[in-house]
Amino acid sequence: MSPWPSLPFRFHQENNPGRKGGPFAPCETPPPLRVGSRMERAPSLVRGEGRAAPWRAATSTAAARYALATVATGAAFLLRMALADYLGPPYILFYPTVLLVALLGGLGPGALATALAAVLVAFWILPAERQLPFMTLRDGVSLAAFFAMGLLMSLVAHRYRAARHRLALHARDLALREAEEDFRRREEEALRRYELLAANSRDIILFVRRDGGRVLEANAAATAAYGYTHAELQGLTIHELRAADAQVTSARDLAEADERGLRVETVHRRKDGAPFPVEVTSQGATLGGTRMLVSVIRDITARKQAEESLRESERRYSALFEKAPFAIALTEMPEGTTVSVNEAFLRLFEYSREEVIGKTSLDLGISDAASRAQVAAALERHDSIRDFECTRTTRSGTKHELSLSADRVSIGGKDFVLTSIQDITRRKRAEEELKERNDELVRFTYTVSHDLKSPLVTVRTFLGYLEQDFGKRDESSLREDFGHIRTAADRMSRLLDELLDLSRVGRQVNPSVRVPLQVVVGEALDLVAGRLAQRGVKVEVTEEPVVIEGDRPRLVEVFQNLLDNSAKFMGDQPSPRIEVGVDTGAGEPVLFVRDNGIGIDPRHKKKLFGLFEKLEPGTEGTGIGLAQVRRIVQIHGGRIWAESAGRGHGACFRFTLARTRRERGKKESA
Amino acid sequence: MTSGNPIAILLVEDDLAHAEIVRRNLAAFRVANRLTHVADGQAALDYLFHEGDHADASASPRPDLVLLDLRLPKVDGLEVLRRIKEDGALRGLPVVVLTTSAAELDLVAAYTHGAGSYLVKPVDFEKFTKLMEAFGFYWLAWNRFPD
Repeated sequence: MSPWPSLPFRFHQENNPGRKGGPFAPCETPPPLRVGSRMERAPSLVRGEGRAAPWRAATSTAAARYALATVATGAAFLLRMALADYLGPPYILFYPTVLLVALLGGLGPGALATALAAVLVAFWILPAERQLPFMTLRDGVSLAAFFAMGLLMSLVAHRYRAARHRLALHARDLALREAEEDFRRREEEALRRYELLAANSRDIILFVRRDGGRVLEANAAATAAYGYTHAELQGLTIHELRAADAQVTSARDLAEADERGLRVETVHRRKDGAPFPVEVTSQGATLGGTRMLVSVIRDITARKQAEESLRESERRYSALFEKAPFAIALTEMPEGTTVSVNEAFLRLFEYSREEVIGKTSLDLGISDAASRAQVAAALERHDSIRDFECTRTTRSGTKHELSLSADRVSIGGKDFVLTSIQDITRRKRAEEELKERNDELVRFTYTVSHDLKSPLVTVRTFLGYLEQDFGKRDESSLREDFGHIRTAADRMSRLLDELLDLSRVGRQVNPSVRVPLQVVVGEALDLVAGRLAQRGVKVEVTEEPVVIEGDRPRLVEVFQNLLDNSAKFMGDQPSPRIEVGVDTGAGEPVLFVRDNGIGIDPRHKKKLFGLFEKLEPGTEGTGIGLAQVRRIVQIHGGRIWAESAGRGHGACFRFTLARTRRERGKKESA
Repeated sequence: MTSGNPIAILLVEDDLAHAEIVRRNLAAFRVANRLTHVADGQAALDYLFHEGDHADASASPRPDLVLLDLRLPKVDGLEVLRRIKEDGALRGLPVVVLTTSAAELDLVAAYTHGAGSYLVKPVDFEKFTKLMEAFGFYWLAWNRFPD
């Protein structure tokens, strides 16, 4: 079908009468416009001609006109006979009859009517005595005069008729010329309109010969786009406008374009060789007997660039999304089905992309209903949430502490939630550790200032008493004063030493080594031999082949402190005993140091490992030893606790150390 | 120097030297024979609530005043103070905190828990002596206790 609207006129189309012609000013001389057929069908242009008139039938043929003359004359005769008594002159009705017949029928019928009237008057209307051949001279002259008058009237009427007819023909010619002029003007206007359309089109419009592809016509957009002049373009074929590397239109495509119209994307080139992408819409048409393709060609450089920059932007954002160091998920509301997740998400939750898409976090068991509802409710209220801390489960069941930030976004009319997820498990643990350390530091500085101040108060005060007692020469008082000062100074000195020790515990100084338990305990026993001997403590060490691993001097310190602590709090136990052993039952091995000393009041157990906490007043300790033991155990990935049935029932310190193994036959590795 | 009944003081102090300093200073106020010294928080509670080693109520009469250190073994001084002030019978017992700690935290906590006075042990013989003298005059000479 032609893409153009049907036109108010038709081109000569003898060769292809079924098709309508194109709208363009043809390149070749247009075929002559034939309007003859229209003229025949043109409306009546002579005034009155179209009206229905009864006499028109009566005057259409010569026979009818003569019949009309006969009938009219007969009628006038009959009327004269019927009204003979009232009408005087015998010709009175025949004058108008002849005039009427002549006007309607012309000269011949007028003459016939005159003759007939003369005969009727001569033979029937005149009184019998005056009828022919008895006619008087007067009647004869009257008859001759009537005859002459009748002929004259007929002649005049005939002339009138002829003049009238010529006038009508002239008017008709005039109207026809006007119509023709009007028609031509409308035709030109229509052509001009389509010329303007073509000239002002931003799209290139080419008329191309179906055979050979020669350009027949091109519009202004074409000359501008290709850089050729109008004349140059007309010398080219469509193939020469196509870029060298562009795909050649197949014969099948050409046939398709011709018959049904076709739209293809290809690349054309300018006169200077520069290629540009185009979209071609082609449709066959016949114009002036020539089969051609009307091609509307759109330069789609801008569209291609926009598409490319869109693709680029998409790639950029995709990279941003995929390579982000934190997990991101896009879920569709209201069900919360996962639409898109990034690589970090899949790594964090240990799923493959296929497993996640189309599922909700509930389906996957990542989140629990309560927590999810909480997020949903927050989003409902605020459209966005920030740093919501929660626990989520990975595919393998590992729990992670996460910080969620989510926003509601609308994409293409659909509601989505964009969630970014940061794994803060390690941060949380570090925070807890930091808080613990901070608390300890606060207590540390507080206690240090207090515990160092205490002996200072003692020293300064007793120096004052010393001065007073010196004057009194009271030797026992002096001795007492000196004693207090010495004790306080010793205490300060020990406190400072232990503080220094403690400061080292926080970090591992020596490389990790694997050492049999007995070796470590042996070294510790050497260090506390003095106190053990002084109290007469018997020590029993297990022979289980257990190997412990860590900073060796620190491990020795653990046992040294525990042994020293046990020996210190033996009370008045007559047969003090310490047992060092290991429980290697189910689970990880638990090391222990057990004594039969004074034991621990269960009410004060929780203060046992506290820094600077002393359970026994007046003893020499500073409250650092057990705190230090706990710190070393923790650094080695273990924990420590104390068991005691109460005062007088002895105490048992139990602890674990990571990587403690029961290994028969293993020798010391360091 | 003073008149009326001698005042009974419970001194809760883990540092034996400090306890000796307090004892020597208060000797002048004729209350030495009424000064009872315990060395840790648990002993103080046992004495006041007649438990453990101090189960015999007659051997551990209710004091008129508690002179309390804060840093104590076993049970912390603040805890002792809280327990005293929570107890219906002991609530009226005046507690004077005597400690080396000048920490704001301790000061606020002590008053919050109902301490009647907060004294910081001076690191100076003269000042310590003056402080104890003033304390003696105020609490043992001028202050009135219920009978």
